[in-house]
Amino acid sequence: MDVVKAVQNYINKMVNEVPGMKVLLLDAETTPIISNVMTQSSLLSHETYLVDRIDNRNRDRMRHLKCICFLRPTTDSIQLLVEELRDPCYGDYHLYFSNTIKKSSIERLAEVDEQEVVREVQEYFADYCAINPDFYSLNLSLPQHHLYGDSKHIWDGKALQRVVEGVLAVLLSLKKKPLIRYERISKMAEKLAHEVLYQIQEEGPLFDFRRTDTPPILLILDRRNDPVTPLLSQWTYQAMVHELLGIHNGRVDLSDVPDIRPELKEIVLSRDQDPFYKKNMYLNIGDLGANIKSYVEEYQSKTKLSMNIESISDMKRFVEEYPEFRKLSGNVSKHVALASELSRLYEKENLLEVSELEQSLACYEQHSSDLKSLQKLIESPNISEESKIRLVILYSLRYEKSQSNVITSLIDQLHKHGVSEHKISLIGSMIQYSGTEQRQDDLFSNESIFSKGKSAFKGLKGVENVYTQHSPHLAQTLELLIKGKLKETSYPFVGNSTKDRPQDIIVFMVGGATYEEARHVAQINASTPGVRIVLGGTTVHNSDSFLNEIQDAFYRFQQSGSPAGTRPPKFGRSRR
Amino acid sequence: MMSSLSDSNPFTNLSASSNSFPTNNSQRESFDDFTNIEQCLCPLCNEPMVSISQLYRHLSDSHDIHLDSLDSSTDQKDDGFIQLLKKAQSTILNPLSSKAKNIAKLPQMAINKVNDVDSIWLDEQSDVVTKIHWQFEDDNDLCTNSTCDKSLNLRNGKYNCRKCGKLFCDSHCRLPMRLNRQALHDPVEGIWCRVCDDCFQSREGYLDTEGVMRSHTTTFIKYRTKGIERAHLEGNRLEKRLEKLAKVYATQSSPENNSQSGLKPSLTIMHRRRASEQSIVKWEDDASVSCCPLCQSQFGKMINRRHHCRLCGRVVCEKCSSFKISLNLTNCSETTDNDSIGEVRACKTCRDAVFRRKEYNEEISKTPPVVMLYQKLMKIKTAIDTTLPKFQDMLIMLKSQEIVNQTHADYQLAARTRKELLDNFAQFDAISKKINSLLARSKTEKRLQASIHLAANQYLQQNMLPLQVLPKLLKKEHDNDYYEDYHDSSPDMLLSVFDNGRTRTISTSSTKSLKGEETIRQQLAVLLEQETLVQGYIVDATKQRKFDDVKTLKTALDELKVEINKTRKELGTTSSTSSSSTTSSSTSSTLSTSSTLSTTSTSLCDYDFMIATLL
Repeated sequence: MDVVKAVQNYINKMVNEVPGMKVLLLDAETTPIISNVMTQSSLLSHETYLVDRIDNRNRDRMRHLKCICFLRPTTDSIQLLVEELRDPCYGDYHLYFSNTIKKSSIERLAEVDEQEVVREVQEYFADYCAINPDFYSLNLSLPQHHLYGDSKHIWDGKALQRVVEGVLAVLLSLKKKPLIRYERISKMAEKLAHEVLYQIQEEGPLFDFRRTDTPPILLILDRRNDPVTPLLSQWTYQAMVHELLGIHNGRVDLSDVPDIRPELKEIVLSRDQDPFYKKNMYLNIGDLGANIKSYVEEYQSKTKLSMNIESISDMKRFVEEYPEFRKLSGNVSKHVALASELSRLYEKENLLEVSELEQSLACYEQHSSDLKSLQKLIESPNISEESKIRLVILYSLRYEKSQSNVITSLIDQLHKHGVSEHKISLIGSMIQYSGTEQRQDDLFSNESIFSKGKSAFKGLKGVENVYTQHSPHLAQTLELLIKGKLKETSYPFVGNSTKDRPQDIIVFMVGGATYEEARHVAQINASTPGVRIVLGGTTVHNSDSFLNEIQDAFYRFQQSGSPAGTRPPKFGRSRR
Repeated sequence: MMSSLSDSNPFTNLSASSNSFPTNNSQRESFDDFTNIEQCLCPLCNEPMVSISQLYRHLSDSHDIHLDSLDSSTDQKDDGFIQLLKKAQSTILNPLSSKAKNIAKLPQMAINKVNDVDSIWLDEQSDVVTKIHWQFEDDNDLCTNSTCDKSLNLRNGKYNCRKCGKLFCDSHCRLPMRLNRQALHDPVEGIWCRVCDDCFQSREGYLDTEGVMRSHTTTFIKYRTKGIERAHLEGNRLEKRLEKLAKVYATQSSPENNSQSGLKPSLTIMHRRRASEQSIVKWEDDASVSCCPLCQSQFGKMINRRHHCRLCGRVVCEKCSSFKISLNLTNCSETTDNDSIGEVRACKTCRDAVFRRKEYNEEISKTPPVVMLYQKLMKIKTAIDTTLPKFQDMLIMLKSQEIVNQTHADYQLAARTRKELLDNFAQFDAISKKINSLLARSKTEKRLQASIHLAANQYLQQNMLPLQVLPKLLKKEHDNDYYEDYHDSSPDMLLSVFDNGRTRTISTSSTKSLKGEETIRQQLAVLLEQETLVQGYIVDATKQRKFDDVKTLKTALDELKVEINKTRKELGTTSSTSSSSTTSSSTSSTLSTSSTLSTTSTSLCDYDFMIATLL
């Protein structure tokens, strides 16, 4: 159950099976799938010398090249391929589709292939972006994709289609025919669960796998049951980079960073290529700082070593090691630049202070003291508007049902400090999207006497790190599922059911997963032998993209009656 | 930037407050460590427990008390702690019933030492699944798991993996798997048994990374053949017509054309020709068509005139029939006459139908220079790929047998293979450079050539650089021979210590035999090679603005230059400088490939960005 390996395996198969000079032809959606798991050099080593987009009309004719097309079978891509085959640029064509292709599309393609250039037509189900071995995303993000249809409980038709195909591709690439469970209260999760079950039954022969001891579980969750996790400031490396800078298809844009060296304007974070990153991606920034320091020291000692070249044999060694050395020095400067930018950003935005309150709001019931510090932070000019909004949202989510809450007065206070109306309206949208009424589990443990007692008990235990106390709701759900104690009343099965403890679990989060959850899944995988979990979602959220999606959705719900109106500006921090 | 980081760690304020993440597990484990209880009893059934963690599991499995729910499971309305108290209360209130139940279980538990995977599964398996293959217990058994060296006792646990039968400690034999009576994996009918990690993972398909693939090639070809037959028929029909046209032109034009060469064919001929053309294909009536069927432009009397395609007979406009197909008899028959005997008007569709296939085949059969060179490149690559492992085997063999004698057959064979490999590598490099320098007709072609060059460099970096290290083995032995021959370590000293080399060189000059001179030349060649290498690095490093590196490299270069001069002088005293320069230049030329190679290879690792950036 390793999604990265599964996708790599598909791609290696594509480029390995055809000998000779090759060009790889991709479309807009398969490009990120490949770039997440393959490097230029690994493609080159398989004689794949050119990579191009099928929607690029100005490709030169090179009949001596063989062409490997890896496309999503969308109408656009099929149309482009039809035009390509009518007047082929290359010698041989090997067509690989990332999902099931319709009979009629095959017929259409066959009709135009008068030159008989097509050698092969295959379906390889690499139809998702594999980020970590146990983390994938369908990359359904704004502005191209909208998740919600006419209301917050209804799928957008296209998005649902894409998600069903994506989930099926994950199952097929991992060879799993799962039993499906979903979050009862979520209409979207239910719809998806039924749709996936229907498709599995439709595609009977494809899902004919050998029996396993206990059937794998596909668990479909909804983001709105845990709106807190994507709102919190993150302190572990991968999550923090995504929260503050954004990771897009394995790349981080540093071009806004002051005084950045030109070669570091855009950097690649790849587990496969970068052992330092692989080792430290789940560590918090404190431990990371120490590790970077020792990494730098290691580099310095190596430079020193190369400084005192005393003999020719020393030098010979140096010369031979030099490429390796260069690689190391490039990597060191990359991580140093990244870490120093992270520390600059969190210092600039006073995130330590903000995060402490965030964690307290997320974990403990301490109304009066938290309110006091919240009001203080709203007054403070050193805190960004985005942080203020996030804090008030967290406060409103927790104390929504509390008698003594002062949400309205907090909103007034925000107004007074010049926070714009469209940002403030997000607070209401968030309550509508995922207030108590929308959540099925007692997220804050404050809905009954018993759970209140428990959270008080939790508070007494004491914590080791103030900034990383919060553990996402997903972790608890998974723990229960592994023990076979996840209640069927809250997480019902669609179709067949089982009482066995699951060994392989595939989670799909409607509305997007987060890197914090990915880290917890990795931890569970490492600490629980015999259990393998893969997490995925419609996209990977940070607080900005999450709030943006909510803002966009509610904007469109309001606009559905009256078409006119100005779109609110994008929510998010300005970098400079 | 780096120094600032090492001076003051910007994360110290955080790292002070952050250690590891609080997990339930770690806390419990540490509690175990502190208490260090050898034995404790279950408070409910008085069963002896090895450790606190086992007690937790026992409570959870046998008495259904879940201490984990203390800090997890928020959706359970009744809180874990209270649940625990309630359970305890109920069991204390009815001690007899629970005790009785456990006493019944006890003997079995004693045999199996309490399976904490799940007690229910255990009860079944003890009767059904065979134990014939179990490893015999001993007093000093060790855990079979290769990463674990615990001795098996009451504290660590001692379990037979139900599948392979070997003995393991508790933590390495606790995975559940379904087995049948013969202790074989049976996912359908089997009973849950505890097995070791290896058995668990070696289940068929468990570590499979190969996803589902579905081929539609046959369906595609089926559909295509249908369409292709139609297209073929159409193409053939048009070709036939073309043939006929050519014959008509040939018979009609040849006698008259000869007599009135240079003049336009007379009207009568035109008429006659038109008639015969129309006999081949029926022409469409002018009046029935008001606009061009291909481009939809309106026909007029004067401006956009009607034309007939001679192949299909349709009326088309000037623009869409501007392709004149030249007729020659070779098209249809095997005559040697290759000259065109005229041109006919044809519409776009007909032209494509007739010529597309032909053009495609022609383009395929033409091999551009890149392809030729590339084929050569690949040939050399396969040669290298076959000899390289052989050579490595040889080296290992030489090393293991400690053959240092140069004259030994194996040694010489290895040396020859090495030379062969180096030649191949040099050729490989040369061809890849040639490909890169080919004249490109377009940007894409240039990109293709550059990529091939890059890939070739990558290949060389992977395979040739290790080879450069390996020969040291041979060379070392080589040098050793010289030691023995001359009892003079000076040539090697020259290599190793050159900061106080002056004193050494004096000693070298004292032992100037013919062979000594040879070795000095070899040193010089090596030095020169190093010099070019380092110069390349300096250029590279300055480009990358890595001034630290540049400094280091520069000092190295200066020292090298001093050394080269010294060696040159030395040679000059022994023999004519001309001979030395020729030898050095020849060696350096063969080796310069390697130097440029490694400089490009260094930039390669920076090249390793994702493809998406390319697009």
